[in-house]
This record gives sequence, structure tokens and C-alpha cells, in this order.
Amino acid sequence: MLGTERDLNYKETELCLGLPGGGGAAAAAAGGENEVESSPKTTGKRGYSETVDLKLNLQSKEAGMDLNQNHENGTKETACTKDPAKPPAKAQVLGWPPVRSYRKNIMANQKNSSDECTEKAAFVKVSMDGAPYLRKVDLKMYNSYQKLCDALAKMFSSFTMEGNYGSQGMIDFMNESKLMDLLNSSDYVPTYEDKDGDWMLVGDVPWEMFVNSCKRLRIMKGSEAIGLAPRAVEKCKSRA
Amino acid sequence: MMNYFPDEVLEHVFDFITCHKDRNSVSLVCKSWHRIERYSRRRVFIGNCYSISPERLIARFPGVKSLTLKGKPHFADFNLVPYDWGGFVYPWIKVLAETGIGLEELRLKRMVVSDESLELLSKSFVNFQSLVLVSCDGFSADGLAAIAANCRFLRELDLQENEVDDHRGHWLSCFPESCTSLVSLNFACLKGEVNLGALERLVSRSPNLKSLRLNRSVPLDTLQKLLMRAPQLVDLGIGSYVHDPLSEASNKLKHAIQRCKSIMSLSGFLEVAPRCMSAIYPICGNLTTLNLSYAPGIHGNKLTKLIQHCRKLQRLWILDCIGDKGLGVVASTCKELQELRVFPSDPFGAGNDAVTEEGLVLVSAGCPKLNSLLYFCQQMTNAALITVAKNCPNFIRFRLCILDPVRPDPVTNQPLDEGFGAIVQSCKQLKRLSLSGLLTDQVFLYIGMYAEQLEMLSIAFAADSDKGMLYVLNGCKKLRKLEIRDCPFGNAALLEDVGKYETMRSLWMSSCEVTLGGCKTVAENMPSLNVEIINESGQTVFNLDEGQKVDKMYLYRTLVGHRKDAPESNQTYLKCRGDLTRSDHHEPSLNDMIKDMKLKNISGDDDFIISESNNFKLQSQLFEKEEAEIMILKWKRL
Repeated sequence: MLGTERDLNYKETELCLGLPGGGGAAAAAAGGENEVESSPKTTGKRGYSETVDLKLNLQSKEAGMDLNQNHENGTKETACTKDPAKPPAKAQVLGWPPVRSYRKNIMANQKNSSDECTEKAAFVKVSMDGAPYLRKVDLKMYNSYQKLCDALAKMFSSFTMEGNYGSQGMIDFMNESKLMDLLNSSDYVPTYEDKDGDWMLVGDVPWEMFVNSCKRLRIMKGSEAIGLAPRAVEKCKSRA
Repeated sequence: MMNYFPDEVLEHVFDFITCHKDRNSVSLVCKSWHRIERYSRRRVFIGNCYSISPERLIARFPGVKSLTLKGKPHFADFNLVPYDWGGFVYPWIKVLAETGIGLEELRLKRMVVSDESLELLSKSFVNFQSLVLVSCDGFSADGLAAIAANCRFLRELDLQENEVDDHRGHWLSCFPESCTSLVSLNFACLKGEVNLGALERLVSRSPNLKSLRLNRSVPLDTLQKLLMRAPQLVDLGIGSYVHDPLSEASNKLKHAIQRCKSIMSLSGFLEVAPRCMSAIYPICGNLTTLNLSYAPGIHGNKLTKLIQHCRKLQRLWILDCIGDKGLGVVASTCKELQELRVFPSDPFGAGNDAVTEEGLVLVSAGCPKLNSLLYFCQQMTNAALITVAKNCPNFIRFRLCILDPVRPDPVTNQPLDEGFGAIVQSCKQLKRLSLSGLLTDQVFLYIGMYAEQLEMLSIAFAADSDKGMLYVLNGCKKLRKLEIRDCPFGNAALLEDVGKYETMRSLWMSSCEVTLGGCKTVAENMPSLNVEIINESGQTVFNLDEGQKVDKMYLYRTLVGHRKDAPESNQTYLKCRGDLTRSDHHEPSLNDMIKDMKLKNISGDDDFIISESNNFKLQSQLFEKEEAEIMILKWKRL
């Protein structure tokens, strides 16, 4: 009933698992040596996959699985891997691996916020219209637009940035007229070239996204930045 | 021949006996020794807070000054125990306070600690000096504020891996100006901001401060200032370590670190920019302990370069992103290494960077003093384990966790029975073992045969039948804690020798084959055991029929019967018929009891529960001797 008898030496390379439950427990409880010896290994090794299956609500295994059968059902493949080097996508079994939940939480949080620290520094060139030479900044050293602009202001002391930074540290371009004012003034406006080679207005996207996509910075006069405005204005309209 | 010494002399002799096990043995020699040991006992260790009551503790040891308590079962660390299961410290503190005990030190592990308890603690014991909380929960920064404010002679506040609600960070400011006694301050596990100015002032006025572990919110410039004020530090935990190596801040830091010539233990780096590690190199040569297991940002070359500076390391905790090659560097550099822990950097599944058997073999070859291991890895082979067993016969703790828990030896496709068998056969001092990988009953046969000193065994997804569990229960005479999950062990194994559980602290079985009927049988026959059942489905025991499997069973010996604080919701425990003082039972003779104790090797326990239990029985019978005879020094092996 539980399929082909299992060879204790596991000569078959497939680690296929048959039905759990019933037979194994009964055999164990019976206490008879023969039954225990010959009963196919059930819940022990099956336990893991069974647990995974139950938790994923995969289809229940069919009885009488032959170890050498190719399984039509794709889900079985996760239980019967031939290639241990490529572990199947793991479902999470409760409490495994046995890592203290405190540690798990810390590592999960660190994964989310670690990009700033674990990747290489993001040095980008900064040019300012009218300045005789360029500078470089490491975007990873800052965690908001405000901090970046403060740093840029220090670097280019004749440069002051006017901008209304919202809660996310992003320039608040909600106000269309404010935007037009800014662009019409002689104040400087920070812009950047992104991965696609487009020149964008700094401040539209969340900070992390900006850091990942910014290739170089250019601080240009507001009047020159008007060409970039249509995109910003569109975004403004779509948010309103 | 002198028949006895005056009490004061014996007390002085007993002062030299600090190990719990030995003190328990001493107390069983005769009435007089029992009495003297009792009154001179200062430190008590209670491995399961439900095995005894605070009242009985105080009745036995009225002079207790230091108490260690453990609450939840070990698997609670992995979310297998409901949050409201129990382990409350409040009742203990309340009773100790009410009876006027001069408590000075409290060490808790896996207990629920409310702010109320902390406040009561801080106000009840004038001489309170040391609070150590490991893997606890239930408190907030308010509780810490009470400790800071009220414990005038506080020397140690050590918070390790606790879940703390610390939304308000003012607790540090609560240390009064008059508090200058701090020796150890560890708040690395707190998530919130702390008052940096208060921290600086506190460190400045603590000339005895030897251990300081900061949390993530403490920035670099504060770290630098703290180091300038406390160059005498021996143990440092760095919070945030992000700086530009070319900046002035970095230079100042380097200078500050170099002044700290006593630092032997380093940890933290909870936030790190790895290119700044060179500032640490000057102190690496003295390090005996290094914990980088919360610093995934340090890996690759930066990590190995750092380790190459640490020639004196005895204890190393790292993440598996070190890789097998990195472990090779450890092997060639750290010849004094005794303890290695390699944690998974991706704790939710198999990481791509995980280490394999190769790394472990390298370390075992290069570090002959290795005696303690916790190793999370992708895979393991029998050959590797056999080699490791040969290279390192001194293991006391061997915990192997293969991320896929039923993975066989990838080279031979065999189970890992032979490999672990080699470990237990070679490592004759092995006290703690955790198994993983594909395992049959065979490995348990080996464990039962060879692991004579084994005290704690953790099993998951292993074995084929009840035989596995029986091999262990029959063979491991010194077993104290057995925890099993997802194994095919059922009633036959559970019920074979229920008396055995009285010699153990606890047994945990979850997702096994044990039924309600089996649990009931244990409870009904063993009044000295509490049998608790936790059913996930929310069904109480009364809705289960006897043939149904229980989700989780936790049984433990106790002298005080059922606890009153178990949650009603999804847990129940089984009452046995009768209680500890059954009068319808034939009282065993003293000789019977001593024989029984010898058979069960009871006196080898490290907490005093069993000796207390025996005293309870023996005192009613009279000791054979009122006073000890000097010639009979059998107190080590009663």
C-alpha cells in the first residue's frame, strides 16, 4: 500500500516520499519487530515535505507512488529532487531553520535597509553651470534629498537651493504655479541623468529609487531647466 | 580521628564549592552538611521556573542572593510556543520582595518580564546589582527607566536579544548623577533612540565600566566620544559604524580606538560601511571574542582581512557569507579557537552563499581546540563529519543545522547516521547535540551507545520508528533535556519508561505520533510530572479523543504540581489522579530510594530540584548519619 519497499541504502537517487501516517504509526505501535523493520519509512522523512505540502496546500500525495516513476504532477518535483545542488524553492516550515526570532527579525530588517551599506559607494559627478570644475559625491552617504542638497550647497557655496521638501524628502511639486515660479527664476535647480540617459528633475521619486538610478548630477539654472518641466508638470497633474 | 568540624569551618570549606552540581551533592551527605550548605548557599540556578515555587526556594535557601531562572521551553525561540504560554517572573519577584530576601542578582532566560516586575524589582532590593535578561519579552523602556532610577548600586544591566518595546528612549537619563557603579551596560537589542548626551555623561562617571554594548542608534561620533572617556573597556559592542574613511571623524575614531588597549571582546556593527574596518585593526590582535553575526555588511575580502588580524580569537560568531574560503582563513589564523558559530545570513531558507562541509573540515583541521560548534550549512557529508570527529575529539557542544533538514549526504546519497555516529563515538565529553539532515534510527542507536555524557539532544525530521527514541532514552543516562519535532515517535516510545522523565528536566515533542491517550497515561502514573498539551487548532483536550495525535506536548518534572497561570485558550494540561503525598502508596525504604537514585544517576543534576525532591523524601525518613564521617567522601557520587 505504501509503494515499493525502500532500500535502506537509498540506492535510488530520487528522494521520493510516499504517504505518511497510517501504516507507519500502526506498525510502530504494534511493537512487532518484523513490522517495524519492514515498514517503509514514513513520517520521519516524509515529515518535512508533508509539512511543506500541508502549509502550501499542495495536492495530497497519491498512494503507492513508485520511486522510479516520473511524476506528471509538477508539484511533486519539489519533493523529489534529484539534484541536491539546486534546492527547490523552499516553502517556509514553521520554526525552521532554528534561528531565534529576534535574530530573524534583525536580519530581515537589515536586508531591507542594507543596500545603502553593503553595496559599493555611489559616487556621481556633480557639475554646476558656471563652475570651473566638477565635484563628486557619494550618494550613499545621505539618506534624503535635504541632506544631499545641504551637502551640495556646502560644496558650491554660491549655490542655494530653494525647494519645498515634503515628508518624504521630496520636492513638493504639487503646486503647479510654484513649480513654474521656480523654473522661471534665476535660482538653481538640481537635475540628474538617470540610467536611461534621460535628464530628470531631482526630487520626483523616492530617495532610494533616486540613488539607484542617478548617474550624474547637474545643477542648472532654473530657466534652463524649463525643458524638463513638462514631465514634472504632468506628474503634478496626475497627482492632483 | 575527628568526627566533625565546627559549622563555621564547614561553611568556609563550602565557599570554595561554587558549582551547582557539587553543592547539591554536598547537601545530600548528612543532615548537618545539608543544614550548613542550605544557609550558606548564595547562588541558585532553576532551569525550569515551574519545577518549584519561590516559597520553597526561600524556605530552603533563605540566604539566596543570586537567582537564575529559565522559563519557556527552548523551542519557544523558534515560534513553536504560543506567546501567552507562561514563564512570568512577577510572582517570583513578589514573593522574594515580601519575604525580605536580599536579592542582588537576577538572571532570566525566555521569561515574560513586565514593566511592573521591573519596577517592583527596582524598589524591593536595596543592594540589587545585576540584571541579565536573555531572550525575554514583555517589557518596555519604562521598565528599564525604573531599574536605572531606583537601583542605586547597579553594576550590571545586560540585555541580550530581547524583544523590547522601547518607543521612548529616555530611560538612560534616569540613571541618577550619583550612579557611578556601572561595570556592564548592554542595550544592543533596543531599537529606539537613546539620549546620547545622557549616555556620554553616564559613561564619564562610570570608572569601573568594563563592558559597553551600544545599539544601532548610537552614531559614530558618539562612539568616538565614549571610547575617549572609557579607554579601560574590555568588551565593546559597536552600534552604527558608518563613516567616510578619509574624513576627520574617521581619524578621530582611529585615535580613540587605539587608546583602548584592553578590549578583548568586540561585537555589533549593527549598521556598517565595510570600507572602514581598517580603523579596528589595531585592537584585533588582542581579541578573544568576536561577534559579527549581526553585520551582513562585512563580508568577502573585508571580512577575511579583519579575521587575519585576530590571531588570539577563542570565540567567533559570524554569518555564512564568510563562505568556505573564509573559514579556511579562520582555520589558518585562529589557532586558539574554541567556539565557532556560523549563522545563516538568509534565515528564511537556503542561502546562496551558505557554507558547506568543506568549511567545517578546514576549521576542524586548523583549530584543534575547537569544543563548541553551531553550524548552519547547505550540506554535510558523512566523510566530512568523520574527519571532523577525528580532528576534534573535544567537542562539548555540537549543533549542526543543515538548512534543508532532510538532506542526505550529497555525495553518497546516504543518511548522515555514520557521520554523527563518528562524532558521538569520538567526542566522549559531548554534552549537547543537535542533529539534522537525513537520519534513520541508526544514528540514535549510536547516540544511545556512545553519548554517555549527553545532557541535551535536539532532533528534527529524523528517524524511522519508535526505536530511535528508545535507543536514546535507554542509553543516555545523563540526559536532561530532550526536544523532538516532526519525528515518527509515538506512544510506545513515550511510555516505555516514564520513570526516566523524573531524572530529566523536560521533554518536548511536537508534530510526532504521540496521542492524547499516551499523554494521559504519563500524567496519571507520574504525579511528579506536569504534562502540558498545546493544540494549534484551538481544540481543547476535552474535544480530542484519546486516539488523536497531539500537536505539541511538553512535560517536565516538578515539585509543586500544576501551574495556575497556563492560558485557557489553546492549551491545557493533564491532571493526574492524586498528588505528591499519596498515602495509599507503600513508602519505599531509604535503601530503596538510594538504590533508585544511583540507578537513575540523579545526583548528577545541576539544578537543585532533584536534591530537593530527595530531601523531601529522605528527611521524613531520617538520614543514616547525623554527622559526616571524614573518611566517607562519597558526596561526589552518592
